[in-house]
Amino acid sequence: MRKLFFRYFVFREHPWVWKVSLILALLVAFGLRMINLTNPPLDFAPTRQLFSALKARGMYYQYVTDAPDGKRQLAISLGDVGTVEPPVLETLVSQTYRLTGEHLWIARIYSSLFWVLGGLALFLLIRELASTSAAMIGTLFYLFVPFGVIASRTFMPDPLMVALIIFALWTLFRWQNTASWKWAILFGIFAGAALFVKNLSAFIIVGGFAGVIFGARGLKRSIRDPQAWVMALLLVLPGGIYMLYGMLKLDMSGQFALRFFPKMWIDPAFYFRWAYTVNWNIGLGATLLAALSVFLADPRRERPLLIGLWIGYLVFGMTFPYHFFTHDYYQLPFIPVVAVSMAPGLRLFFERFYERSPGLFPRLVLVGVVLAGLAVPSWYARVQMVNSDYQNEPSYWAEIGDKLGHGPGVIGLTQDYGYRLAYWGWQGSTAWFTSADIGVRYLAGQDVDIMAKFKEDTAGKQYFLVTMFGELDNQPVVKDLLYTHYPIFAQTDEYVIFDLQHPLIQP
Amino acid sequence: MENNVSPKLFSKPWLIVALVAMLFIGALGIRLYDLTDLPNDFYLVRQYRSLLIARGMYYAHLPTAPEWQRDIAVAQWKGEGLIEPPIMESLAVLTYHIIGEHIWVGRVYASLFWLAGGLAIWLLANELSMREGGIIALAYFLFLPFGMTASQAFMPDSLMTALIAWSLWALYLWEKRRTWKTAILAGVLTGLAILVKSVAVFPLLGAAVGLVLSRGSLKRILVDKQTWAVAAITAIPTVIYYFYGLIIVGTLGGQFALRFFPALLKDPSFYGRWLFIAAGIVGFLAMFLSLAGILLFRMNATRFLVVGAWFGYIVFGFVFPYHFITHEYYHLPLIPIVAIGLIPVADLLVRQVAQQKGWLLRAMFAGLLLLAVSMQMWEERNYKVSNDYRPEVSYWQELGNLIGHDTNIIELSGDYGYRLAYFGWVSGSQWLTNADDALRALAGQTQSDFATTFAEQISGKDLFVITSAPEWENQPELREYLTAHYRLIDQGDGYWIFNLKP
Repeated sequence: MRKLFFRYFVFREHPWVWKVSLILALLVAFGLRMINLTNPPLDFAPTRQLFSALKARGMYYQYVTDAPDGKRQLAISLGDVGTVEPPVLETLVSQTYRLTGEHLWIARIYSSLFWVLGGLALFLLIRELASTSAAMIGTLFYLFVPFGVIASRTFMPDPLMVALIIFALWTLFRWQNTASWKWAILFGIFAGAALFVKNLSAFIIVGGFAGVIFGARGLKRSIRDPQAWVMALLLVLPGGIYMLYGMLKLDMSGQFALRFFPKMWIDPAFYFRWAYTVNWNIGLGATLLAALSVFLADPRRERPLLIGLWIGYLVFGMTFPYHFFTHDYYQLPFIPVVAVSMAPGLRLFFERFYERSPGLFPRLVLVGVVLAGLAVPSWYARVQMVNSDYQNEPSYWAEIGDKLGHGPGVIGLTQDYGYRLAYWGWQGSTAWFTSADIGVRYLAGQDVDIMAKFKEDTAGKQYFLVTMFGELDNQPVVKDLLYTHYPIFAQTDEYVIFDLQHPLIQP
Repeated sequence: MENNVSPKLFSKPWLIVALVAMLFIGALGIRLYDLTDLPNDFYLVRQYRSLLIARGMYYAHLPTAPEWQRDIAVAQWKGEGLIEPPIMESLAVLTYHIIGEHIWVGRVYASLFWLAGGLAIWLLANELSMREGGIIALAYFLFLPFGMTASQAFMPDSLMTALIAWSLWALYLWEKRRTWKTAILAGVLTGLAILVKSVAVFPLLGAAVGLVLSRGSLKRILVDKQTWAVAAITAIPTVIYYFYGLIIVGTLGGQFALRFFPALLKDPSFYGRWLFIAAGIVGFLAMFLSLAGILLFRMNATRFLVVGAWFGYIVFGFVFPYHFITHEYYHLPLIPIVAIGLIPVADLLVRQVAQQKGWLLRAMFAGLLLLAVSMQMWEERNYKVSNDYRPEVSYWQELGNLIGHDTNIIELSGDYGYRLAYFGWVSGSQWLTNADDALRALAGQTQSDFATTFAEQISGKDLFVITSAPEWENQPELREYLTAHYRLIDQGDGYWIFNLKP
């Protein structure tokens, strides 16, 4: 009886079995991301996360009525960190602050939720592309790859962007297979939203779209198809309008500076470092399996989308060669690409498995292998989340902020371009170049005159704060200048503040 | 035969041979890169032990060596306890007699053995009629990062791993053909693997038992003469060696000390660490795919062979729990097992690619494979380039000269004094490190008080030499005692020498 139950109810592709499994997987994936929820967001791309945190706080304080006016103004002014993308997540978080009070972890919950919802769309996409079993494994990969777990709980637009990319790809594939207006418009909405949230999503989405248009539907047919034009229009409209608005009103042109380094293309090390980055974050084995699986996809129905996604990703990497190594999160959109690309290979595996192992025992073994396969990366991610503890950071920066007085006139060689100081220390500052900043300018062919830069940046400033002593050691000219020309205003083992207003000798 | 359908990746067989040859050449090339660097990158204690044994064996018959060096070299050799038969060391010595003593000779042999193991994986894939899948499994075996590092070490493990692969091939061949010739071959190769390093018994016994059980009938198994012959041939070399080591020489018993820690089995974190270490070594996805791959083998014999090998590996971990979570190279037998499990998965994938029309997809497939391989090679090359241990030679030589080659010393070191012994020609007894203390505590051994231990240990010694700054830092009792009671006669970069004589 038990055997019959397993054979005919648990392992046949009954929809409820997969629904329950999927819901469980989504819940566990969400729960995993809630570990060490209140940890300050310094575990992954801290600069980017604090950028959003400052912005959200500034937006929130515009509505706070019971805070002292000085503090309110300071929060708003510190939140004016510039504009990169439309502050979608920041707006959502700041509005939630109005209900719950200011808690940085709220952003973690939103991001995690977006990522996990993306898993739902991914399951639907892979199921349509390959099979339910393949969809389950592909979705589990997306939900539990450790890099994805860590990066998808961050205060950044990327988890939402990735989720929207997946929804867009799912609707795109539905449109390819149905040619209905419903899916065309839904694709336009999701793709447009993804580009609006973060325009870097364009590479994957346009890649996939181009793959479907050129490979699956044909260019001639598509040119005459009004649905395709509507899709393209909806795709570019929100992001395009925002970009235009940003260029004209928000001074967003700065975000394009120091991004393109085509001379890296001719350096073989670039490609090896790219592969290394992929290996480190996603895994060479998974990537290789995904790449090989593209060869197994149906040439007309499946392969065009997959090839489009891969080309989109490659163009993405070639466009931002420098950022592909220095910013791990640029690899995030590649996770669903790998998961979807695995699908044809997984389908093949399951076909052969069901054919060669019809009995109950092999299926139980396979379930066991999958569960063990989930346990290892989940535990690994958990260990990382628990071990990276930054709970002592807020008080540290608050102390420095108090020491500096929360007024203007501070320049600093501090973590994350002064964002930690700004967020927890309530102290604005001008960021002094790190050696990496100098390096990237050299790479871009710019010349940096350190003395002139120092004179220019410190003009009118009261204090020079140093909390990154390794960085100061990397800049011996600046170190010498500070220690020989300026008195120390305050000093501990962890920071030193130079008084720029009372130089020992004129530099 | 596992697979009768045979779409070929390349229509011309020489293209596959060329691809395989390229893999072997690349695998050898990356292993010979930076060949002359010191073997400090991977379990240096174990490698320097082999170097000392080989040098002692070599100097014993080297008439041109200065007498004091010959005496020390031979004494150092004899001072090393018997663990495994010195097969690798003997091969190195034979080569030393032809080309002179070079630290890299052992590394070359280890690398060649590993490559030979790759050949066994490839041949097994051929026997399974999964040649295409064999290419991927071979590439995995040859270019797995941990395997690349470990397979260059002057230790018996590379040869043992290769022989495990050969034994698995031979066992399968025997099951497939059931001739006396293949039975003897399986027995000889399995026996050799266990002789080279006895822990090979775990996966191989598991695999052999699995294979035999796949036949189903117990009666049929018990009356099968070939089975008994394989078991006997397998056991003979090891039984003779253990008889020699335990009864005739009598020193082999020492290797069983501080090895069994059943208490660890009750600790849940042990299993987590085991899983992480194993997954880290063989690659998480590869392990996962390999396990799933077992379900794709068509024949029960193959499935049982690999499941048995896995089972043996797990038993191995239960028997040596402490070493499994502290000595990564204990997991080396898992690499050929995982590689074999990958064969059906890879074969399925590659054959499906091979069914596609046109040469472009095939060329892209081969290109992708070579890209993955070259990436692994590049990482290994970078690792090697970034670690240069050659300057250590003069450091230890100078320290040896400073101490004096005939001085009686006790040493606190991070490497059991092997580098001082090898380069500095100075041997001494060892003061226990923190890790040694912890190991003894784990084994339930009680320790005498510090003063008693110290008095016992320094008895008859001239100098106390410390060559490990972290150990010196972490043993405050020793540091304070030595500083308070003895004269520091010399101190330099990473060493302290105390005069123990009044």
